[in-house]
Amino acid sequence: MAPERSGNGPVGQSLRRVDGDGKTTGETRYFSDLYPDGVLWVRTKRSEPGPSGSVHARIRSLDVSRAEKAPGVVRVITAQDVPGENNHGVFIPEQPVLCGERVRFHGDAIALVAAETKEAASAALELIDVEYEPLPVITDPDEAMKEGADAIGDNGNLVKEFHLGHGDVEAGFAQADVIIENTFDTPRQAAAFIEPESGVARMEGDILIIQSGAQSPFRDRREISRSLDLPLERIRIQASPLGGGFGAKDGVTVQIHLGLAAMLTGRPVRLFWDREESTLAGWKRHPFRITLKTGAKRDGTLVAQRARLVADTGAYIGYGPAVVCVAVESVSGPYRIPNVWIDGYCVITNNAPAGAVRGFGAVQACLAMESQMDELAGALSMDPLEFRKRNAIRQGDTASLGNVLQCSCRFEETLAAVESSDAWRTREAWKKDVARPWIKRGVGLASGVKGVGLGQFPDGGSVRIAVTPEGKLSLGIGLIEMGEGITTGFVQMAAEALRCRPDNVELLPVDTDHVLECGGADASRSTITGGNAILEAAPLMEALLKKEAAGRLEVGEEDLELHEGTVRSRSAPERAVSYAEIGKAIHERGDSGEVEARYDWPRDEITLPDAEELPHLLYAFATHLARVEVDTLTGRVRLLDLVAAQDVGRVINPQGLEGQSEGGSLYSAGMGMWEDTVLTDAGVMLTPSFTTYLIGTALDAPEIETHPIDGYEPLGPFGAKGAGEIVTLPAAAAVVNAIRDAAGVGIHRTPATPERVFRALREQAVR
Amino acid sequence: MTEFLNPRTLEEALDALAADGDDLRVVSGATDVVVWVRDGRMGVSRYLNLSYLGGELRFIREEDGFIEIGALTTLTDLLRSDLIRRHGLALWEAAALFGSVQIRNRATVAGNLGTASPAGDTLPPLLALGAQAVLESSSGVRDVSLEKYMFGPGQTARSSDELITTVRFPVMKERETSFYRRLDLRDALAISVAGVAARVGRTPGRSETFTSARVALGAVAPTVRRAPAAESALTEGPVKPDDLMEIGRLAAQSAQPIDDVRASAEYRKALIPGLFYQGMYDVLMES
Repeated sequence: MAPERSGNGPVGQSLRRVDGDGKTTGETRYFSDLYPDGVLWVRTKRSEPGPSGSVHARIRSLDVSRAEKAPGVVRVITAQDVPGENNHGVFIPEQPVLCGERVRFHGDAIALVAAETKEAASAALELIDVEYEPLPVITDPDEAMKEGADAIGDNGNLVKEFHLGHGDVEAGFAQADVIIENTFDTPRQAAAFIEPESGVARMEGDILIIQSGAQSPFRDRREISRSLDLPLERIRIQASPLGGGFGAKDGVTVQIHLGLAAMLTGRPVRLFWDREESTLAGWKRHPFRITLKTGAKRDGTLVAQRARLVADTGAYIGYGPAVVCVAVESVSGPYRIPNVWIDGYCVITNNAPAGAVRGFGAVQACLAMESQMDELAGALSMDPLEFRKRNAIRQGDTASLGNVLQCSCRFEETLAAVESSDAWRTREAWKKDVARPWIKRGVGLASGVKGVGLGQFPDGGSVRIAVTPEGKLSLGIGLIEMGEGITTGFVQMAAEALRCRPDNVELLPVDTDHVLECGGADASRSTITGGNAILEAAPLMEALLKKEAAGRLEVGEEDLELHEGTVRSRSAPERAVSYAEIGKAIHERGDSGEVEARYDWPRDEITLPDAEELPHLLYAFATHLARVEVDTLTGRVRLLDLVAAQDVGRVINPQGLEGQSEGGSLYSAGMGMWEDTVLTDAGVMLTPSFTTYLIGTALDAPEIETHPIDGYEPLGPFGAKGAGEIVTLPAAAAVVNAIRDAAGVGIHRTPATPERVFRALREQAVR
Repeated sequence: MTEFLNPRTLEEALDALAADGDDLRVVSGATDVVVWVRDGRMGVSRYLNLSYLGGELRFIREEDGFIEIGALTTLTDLLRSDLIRRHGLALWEAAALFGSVQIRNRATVAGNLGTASPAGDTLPPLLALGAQAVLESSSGVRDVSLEKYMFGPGQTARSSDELITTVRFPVMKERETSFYRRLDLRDALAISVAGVAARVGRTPGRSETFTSARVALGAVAPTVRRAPAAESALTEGPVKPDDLMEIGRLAAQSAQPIDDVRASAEYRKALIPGLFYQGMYDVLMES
């Protein structure tokens, strides 16, 4: 495991993306680009509260007869048409495939219409008559979790609670010279991927084929099988290419509906959530309310922290408990705090459902903790960077759950990288250089820690490598490319391990018929799971190639080595045979030329009661810096630049990491500055479209300077950890801290909209 | 069925409106209409498409002491025009932050006037500049000042047989200037939350006294509107930078904003003094 880089091999090079040409030229056809012959358009009837209605209501009657008779309509599908269990869910099956008895949020799915045209399907939705009996609506999670609150969930509203820590938190506070307490609210960020939830499906004989971009196609298949009462072997899922996931395609969205419509109509069907539907019904980031009470000694040593986290998982549980788990783990930041207590709650409300979204609880925790760190630094009159350095966690330290940090940790180096950046060194002069008196400039930084992988959950994955008749190495991995560049990374790792050029490696699309299950493309786990599985399979392929070569070259296998796409004799290098010749021979003989291997993640020995996922064995770290300008007359903030230092272990593809870093930072900054799906107190969605759900545009995007901290994680392939999520952690908090630095106001509810900043400035002026 | 009439000349367009104006939605760049169609908010399905009139109504020129802008002039055209920059800086500034490059390439001045949204970005500058809309029908031509042109969101003095053919405003005199400042929620594709435009003339040799002032507010009332209290305060006596916030507060007296998902009414009103201050500060500092 974990072989050293060979020097000038493909690992560590900025190899051009293997999926780049197709995606930039438009040649790649996403499933949402497919319009099969004879396709039916499927649209979803969703609950609408109406002026006097309620987002939470009992369905008194559902009458589809008018819709069924409408022109072009082939079939209207309701709860009673679901052949298997009418519910699904990642952990707990509780979300109805189609609501038959009750709707719980604005946009709950009630019926499907399959029609000859999109227009006919849309028109028929209006002809479905639903009579509702309003039920009490609770949209504030603190209210929902109170004893005696009206139940929204099948088993009450409090899904899961966590009570964890180490040390003696009261004794810790007794040692503190300064204690501050603050409450932070984080937004319900949307995934806002370029390709909304969508796909096509059809029956081929008695096989149901679903083509829909998905992050966990094998798990989805089990959920589809359960609800459609169809055995797994009769369901085939093609999940790539996928037009952006961000976690919100980790879990069922359109898949069961697609399968249901294809089964019941016997026709190819197409389902495409438009932007408004995606914002309404898609998985969103959990809003958290986080209260932190933190104590430090005068010299800046952190001594105690008490945290309370309440996550609003919306109307359905989804990934909620795991998201809170990760938030609990991350809320103490990458710091040594000897006394910690954390209470975490996952709560059902009548809001839009929240699920897995990139950063998965850690982003929200980071936003709160890093704001707290700067406010504490202020209270101690300490430089925020010095304050972090003083408390920075190192390998071997005890982390916040009492676990020992065992993985590679170059967190201090991320602080050093930011400290040596121009933006930090020149900050005092830069802040004075303003063109107008109402503009204030500020520089803020924030750090973060994110567990890599599924922690204590059993986890692993398998790959298959085959040598083709042409001598290519074909790689079958069930981990989807989400745009982050993972497939390029896999190609680089396979080429490095099997000593050939990257263009001699080809990747199979993610198709449950053609690849082995490798778990979900989530939890920053793809690099390690896929990479290590490749490294487990590579020696098997090497042996297969050598065995074949030995016979042809009449050389003992022990004298053979792989070299530039050939197997050659070490003692007589001119005796060599190419992979192409080997592949041809193997296939001519009728052999498959395949090897398979599985990688299973190691786990920490510690076990924490009632927190199954915690702790992780591996963590990634980051420190980001933001420079902003605040218009103190309007509250408008401009984000000018970001410096992003990432400790993700050895970097497999520097350009790929830069892309991850820029995209992740901007996503994080979006949570700090613009993005929120806003619901009324009655749970009605106010920001379904991109006119009101604001994302930073190219003009808003700051200059982003990425500093990869070259590290080496022994558990990772070639020393890599995982980059997908840590890059999204600190930028939001860095922005908030830069605003505080500029204008002296702490924004405790993000995004820091102009109005919120303006109000904070007003309150400051009054004080 | 959606139907498009595609007149090739102004005369054809006016004839079509005379015959059928009540049923026709006039459309040029379609940057508003496309959104409304998609949202199902269009009441009509017949369009008078002005795209083929291009040349005839696409011009920016100086004529008899006025800057005249043809109805089909795009926002990009404004942005590229030295005449606009010199004589209508406020309008130029509005064009610079209008929508996005793609929208500026399509959207027209008359379209923004036709939609008459209180948040339309060209409207506060045009009102401050003292603009008139030239409304033409097959039976005649009339000039309507912007004050009298708009009387509610989407409600205008244009009758169904008329077309906006030209917008014009008086050229800048010596020591006159204008500005437009708005609050938006991001740097592109943003809708104005509140805006202030002004056209002010200063006394020769004395930068702190103003001989004329027109102040207009955007996105804080059912229509773009003037702020008379601020205008009088500007011209009553010498104005120092320290006075500007107070005069801005007078301007805010004319604001009657609403709450929406973008901002509260209270915040919108509170923005006016600051935006006014920022624009006027630059005017005072320039001299």
